Amino acid sequence: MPANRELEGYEIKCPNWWTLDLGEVHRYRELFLFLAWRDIKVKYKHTVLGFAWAILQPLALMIMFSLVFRNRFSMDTEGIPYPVFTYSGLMFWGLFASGVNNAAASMIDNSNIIRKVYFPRILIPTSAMIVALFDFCMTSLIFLPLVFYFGIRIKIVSMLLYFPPAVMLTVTSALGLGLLFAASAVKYRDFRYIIPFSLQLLFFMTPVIYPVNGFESTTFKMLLGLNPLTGALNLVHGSLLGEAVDWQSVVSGSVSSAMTLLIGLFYFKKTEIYSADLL
Amino acid sequence: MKPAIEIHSICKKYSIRGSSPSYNTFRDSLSGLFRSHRNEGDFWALKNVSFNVLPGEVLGIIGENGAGKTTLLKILSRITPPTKGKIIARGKISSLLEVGTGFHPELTGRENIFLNGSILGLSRRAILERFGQIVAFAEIDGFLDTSLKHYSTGMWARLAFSVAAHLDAEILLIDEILSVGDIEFQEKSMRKMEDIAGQARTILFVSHNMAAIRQLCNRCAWIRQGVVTRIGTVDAVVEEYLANYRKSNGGSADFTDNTRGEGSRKVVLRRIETRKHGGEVSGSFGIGEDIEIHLFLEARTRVGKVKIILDLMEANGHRICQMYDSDSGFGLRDVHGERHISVLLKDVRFYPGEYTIGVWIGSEVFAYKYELYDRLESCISFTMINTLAGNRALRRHAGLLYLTPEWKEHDS
Repeated sequence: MPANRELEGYEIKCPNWWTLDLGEVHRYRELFLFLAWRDIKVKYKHTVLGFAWAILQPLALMIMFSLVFRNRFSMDTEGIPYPVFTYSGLMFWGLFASGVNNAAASMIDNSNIIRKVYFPRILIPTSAMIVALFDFCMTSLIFLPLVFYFGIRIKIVSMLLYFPPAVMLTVTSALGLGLLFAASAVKYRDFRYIIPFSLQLLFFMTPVIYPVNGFESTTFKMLLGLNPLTGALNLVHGSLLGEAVDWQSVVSGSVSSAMTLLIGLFYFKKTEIYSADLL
Repeated sequence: MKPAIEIHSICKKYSIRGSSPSYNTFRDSLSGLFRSHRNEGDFWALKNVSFNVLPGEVLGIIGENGAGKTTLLKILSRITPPTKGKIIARGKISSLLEVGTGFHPELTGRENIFLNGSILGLSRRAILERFGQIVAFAEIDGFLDTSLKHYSTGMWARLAFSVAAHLDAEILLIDEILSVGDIEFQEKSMRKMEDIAGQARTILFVSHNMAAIRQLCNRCAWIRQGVVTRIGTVDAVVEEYLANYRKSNGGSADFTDNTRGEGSRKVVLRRIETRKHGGEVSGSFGIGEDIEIHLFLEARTRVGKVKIILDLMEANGHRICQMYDSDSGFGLRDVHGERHISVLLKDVRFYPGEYTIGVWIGSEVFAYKYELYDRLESCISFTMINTLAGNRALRRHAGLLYLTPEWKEHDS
């Protein structure tokens, strides 16, 4: 920390909630990394399978969905083998869902620290997102073998081009929703029940196990378009096909994820100063 | 010299809603839309607190539980915002409201040093620089790469204190952290604290331990119901504080509606009495008389073993002796409901003056691990009076014990 700022004297008073002191967040970057490192370390320590757990979950779900859906319904996945289609969807859904879950639970999980030490509270839910990102990286390790196994000839360029924005979209919206839930959970413990329930609802509103074009209803398509994950998954599926992406959904997804992040951020900022009193 | 901390009329309000102040449910808010706000009342934890602390000063803060001491430290460390007022601070502030904040049982000692240090505001480089000192002070050399969950409570406490003792902040806010570890380590940490206090750092030190306050601080503030009632030299403030809470109302003090005690309160002291040998409740005793201390305890849950320690202190807070029940072969077993215990001190020969008794109630100490049930410092006082007719004047500064040993002359 820059010593001169501190020695000049600074004020402690009831802060304005609308100011986000990015400089301060930057000064605490080491703590951010330590918190993220702790979460990853603790999650996989003393598990026999270790990091394999991250992969096992989407893999098992993919196999199950493939068995259930491939033969029952004719899913037009536009030429992508159904397992690959679902696995890619589950990867991104996993990033989103565990991101939201981790962030939402983080404030309560860390209440012992929050009540005893000061630091920008935003570090807690954002560092919790890192665990989700880490798991995502693990799951993507077997995505490439899967793609080759099913003989998809992907264009590396389009993958490199489309994956990062897809991840960005997912993380942004997960962080936005996670911040909103984290701040709400501090105030209302009801959110312990609301979060899993709403995530489950959202899962079926996301084209993870079915393609978007499988529906006639335009209202449903519109609703799907509002879901930031639809845009992200369209990017991913587009990169697999090497075809044009439905950019409309990407744009609307970007707008809605940015909105989510803004709302989450402001609500979180508004409540964070009192979090030590409420926890 | 500009003050290290300027506190300008700080107020802190907590809203107390219903029976659970901190636990909201969605339903409450929803129903609140249709009803007027159902605040059971605002509670002002701090009312217009103002004072300055100069650089290098070690300020002790004393007061009852719930008086607002910890709230003040929390505001200073920015954990919670003040409702009104402002503070100007000059220097990096680190707060130690407890030791071992953020310790994770699954992580090793080494990993926890980095995590805890980082949470307390040390940079990674600063932790690396101090790493050797921290480990040496904590005496956990061989266990650095063992998970914290395998640590004994004593090791855990030593490590926690050790990280805390190596912070680099100019201003330290410390809340009752000296009572960790075994007696030996407590002495060692006290020395370390004196060391830190001598390093021209500004320290605000909250404690119930008057001896520690006297030893460490060069100024003292007494907070009472959210107001700073007295601030001044340590001796004057501590003495006034103790005098105020001493219940010298004829040898009996009641704590049924007590707000002073600490601990988990599984077993609490309801009443304490000093009686003459015959059984008469009294607040004054002649030199050489017997004193019976009667304790009325109540166990709110069934507790297997209870350990009781009595502190005998001079009026200024200096401890004369500590009496463990186990030293006399006494032990309370299987406690549930109310119990009545008497402790007989035979032939008490203190010089005339005022003395106080403190009570510590806790679980059996096992491997440095114990649970504090209730603690009341200086909860009752008694006066020793000079009843020895025709005797010389016994002045308090001349001694503590009035002994009449056997004198003999031998052949030379």
